[in-house]
Amino acid sequence: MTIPGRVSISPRALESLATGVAAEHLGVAAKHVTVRLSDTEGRLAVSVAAPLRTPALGAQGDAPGLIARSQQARADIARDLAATSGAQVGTVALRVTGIEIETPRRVS
Amino acid sequence: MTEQKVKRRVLRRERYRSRSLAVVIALSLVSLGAAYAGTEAVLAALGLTPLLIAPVDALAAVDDPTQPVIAGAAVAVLLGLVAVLVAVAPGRRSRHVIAHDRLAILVDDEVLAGSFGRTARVVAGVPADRVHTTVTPRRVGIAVTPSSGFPVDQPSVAEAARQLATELATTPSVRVGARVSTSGVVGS
Repeated sequence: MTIPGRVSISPRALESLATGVAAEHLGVAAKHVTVRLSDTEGRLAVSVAAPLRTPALGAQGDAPGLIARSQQARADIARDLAATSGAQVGTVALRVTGIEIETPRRVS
Repeated sequence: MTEQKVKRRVLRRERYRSRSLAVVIALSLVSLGAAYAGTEAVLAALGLTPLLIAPVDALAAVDDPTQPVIAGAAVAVLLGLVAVLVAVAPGRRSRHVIAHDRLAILVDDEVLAGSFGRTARVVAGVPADRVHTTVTPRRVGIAVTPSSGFPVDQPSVAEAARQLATELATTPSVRVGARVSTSGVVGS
């Protein structure tokens, strides 16, 4: 027995959610992440513009490249956004607007 | 028994537009024309000056029409066509009868559309402005625009609407068509 009435999720709420998910997977602060949502054949089309967090040169020699990590981030964003919002995610477009380099902590 | 007949009669009258206005206008024009022709005939018989044109001259004008006469005839043809159209067209009002054994129930099509739209939006789980319903005498069309990422099950919407149509048992009966738009709108 379901209770009469309905739940509505505003576009702003969905965008905030997507921003949070994207920020987590890109390893940057949510305030640097811009997300726009639109529709693609009835599914969510997510377009993210954000910087990408990258280890400093030499800090991690075996870290995957930019492209590979971006692709991984797109897949993770799609999966987690679908899981948290319950919406079907059609496409995720990621535009990397900058690089945030992890400054290695000096042992002093 | 007679009560049933009265009910049927009343429902029919409410479902179709009365032609009395068209009849009143047409007969008024005919009687005015006849009165005028009679006046001219009497004036001509008494040898007085005609009001506009003597009957003899009028007949001559028909045999050899001038521009204004042709224009007048064209207007008359147009009026005649309109009259035929009004007479032949069904003159249905946008209303439906809902079956009831004791009461005569008439529902405006706007109300019917609202009812079908409500059913559709509850089943589809979309806000009211994403459901567009049109009601014609024999058809109810429902168009749903889903929220992006939340697919709408077209068969269940159609089924719910069909069920409502069966429940209401309108006269004339309506067929239900439900469409779900392939593209959605973000947010709900």
